[in-house]
Amino acid sequence: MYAPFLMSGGMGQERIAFDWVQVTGRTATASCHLSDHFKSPWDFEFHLNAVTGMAMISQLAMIHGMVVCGVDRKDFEILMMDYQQTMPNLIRDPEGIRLAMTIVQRTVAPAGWRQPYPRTFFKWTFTVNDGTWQGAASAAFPFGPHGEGLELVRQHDREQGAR
Amino acid sequence: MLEDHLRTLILESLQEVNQEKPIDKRFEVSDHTKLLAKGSAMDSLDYLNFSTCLEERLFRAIGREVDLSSLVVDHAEAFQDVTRLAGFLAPRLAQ
Repeated sequence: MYAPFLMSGGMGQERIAFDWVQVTGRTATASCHLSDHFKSPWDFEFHLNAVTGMAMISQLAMIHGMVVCGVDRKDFEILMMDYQQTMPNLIRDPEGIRLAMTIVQRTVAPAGWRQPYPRTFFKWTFTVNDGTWQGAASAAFPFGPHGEGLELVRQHDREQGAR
Repeated sequence: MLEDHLRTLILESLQEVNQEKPIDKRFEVSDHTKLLAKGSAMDSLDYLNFSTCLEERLFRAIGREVDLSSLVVDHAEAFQDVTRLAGFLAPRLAQ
């Protein structure tokens, strides 16, 4: 039996909206809210779902990595490599959800290793609502630490008909 | 920093990465283990974790941060295997 969250009107009802994002070097902070959300039939009020929280963190991770690398247009795929979050307490308010991420590692793979373009890997630790939730994430960006190789990726995608 | 000491730190870092992997996914760790080379057994996450482990060990050994990312961009060939990486880093970290 599927959980209602996975059915039509469940997960698809969640609407994430960022109020603001601030990137200061290794740290990115943001405030966001849910302009619409699913409420479980078995809970008496809203609680932030683990999957929606992950989507929020993923979005902030993308923004953070792109800003750090000086890339301002998202027309390529960023791949999450690893993700872990602990949620010991519920987040009940769909407004003013505070996200904070810190880059704890940046690594570059040169063009030619597994892919024809360079890649930059970031590892973060993060908190939601000042530590109510916390975790770690890693993601791969398809360009060098200053956006190198991005034109190659875009050309490759065009040739593959991805756009 | 002595090349032998560096080789030890690199091997320790690889072993730490290996320990986190399922037994059937572990790779052989030796002076000839391929890093950023064709045929490397490391995947992207292994490489990210390897970099983390090695930078932490280098910091503890020499007391300053070493950014491997800035080196790999211009010297990718030096990251082909353990021996080459140790030989590449030794004179740079001795400065």
